[in-house]
Amino acid sequence: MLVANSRFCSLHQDTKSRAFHLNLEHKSIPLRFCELLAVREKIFSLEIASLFYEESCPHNFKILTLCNQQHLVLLTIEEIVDLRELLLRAFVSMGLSSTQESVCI
Amino acid sequence: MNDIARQQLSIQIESMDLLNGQIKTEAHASAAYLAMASWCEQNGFFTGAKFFFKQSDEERGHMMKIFNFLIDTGGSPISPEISGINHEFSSIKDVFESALQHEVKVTESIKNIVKKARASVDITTERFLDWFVLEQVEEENTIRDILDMIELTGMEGVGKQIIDNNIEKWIEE
Repeated sequence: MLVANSRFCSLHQDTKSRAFHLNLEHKSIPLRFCELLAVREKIFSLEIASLFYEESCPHNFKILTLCNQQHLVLLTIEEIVDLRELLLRAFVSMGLSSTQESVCI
Repeated sequence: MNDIARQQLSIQIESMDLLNGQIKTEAHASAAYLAMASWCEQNGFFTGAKFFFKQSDEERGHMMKIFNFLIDTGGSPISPEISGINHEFSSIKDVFESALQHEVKVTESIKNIVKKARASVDITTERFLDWFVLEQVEEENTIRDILDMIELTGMEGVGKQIIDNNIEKWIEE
């Protein structure tokens, strides 16, 4: 069942396995809820502005490990921004957020 | 929608983010009090040092209370990174004035989370923070009382020694 989608990705939930599926353009990642929270934390802790200058993002993409290093993903800055949008929408859709704005920690 | 996420998390996601921010604030306060204890030890305020060691433990206790609340509600608590701790103070009065500033910062931060929790009807988080709101009244009052005592005693002559001896009263409370 679709929870939310955006330009490059979507999030589905499977009520039978009680898991989520994060579908990126070329990869689908199964996630337990706590892993979804960890992905959200990782994506929102990235400082987008610094990615334009950072040496770790030399070719306009960022390498991220997800789910306790089980998955390796390469995301462009545009895809990172898009993934943030997806996660904001997803938590509103799941009734766990009342705002489309992120909170800085 | 079958609510798997709601079954896993009992609070609003924004509350979780703000409480993670509060974990960091409490950890910072704990580290700052440790620096104040160090200054007191180095400058002969041994009772003052004892007071700040206790305060540091209390702040860590607050941090752990929030950490465990996030675990209990199905959230994801983040172990904080702490930097920028000041170790330089011009006097014992300066130390306690800095401590009061820290407490005010903590109080305002908690009130802000209560305000946001209320706005998003996150009753669980709002009620959890009741204890912290009252605790902060006590924390601020303690530091204010010590600053009043420092003001009355004065720093001249044996004043510093009397100040250090008097701080004992607030450790036992």
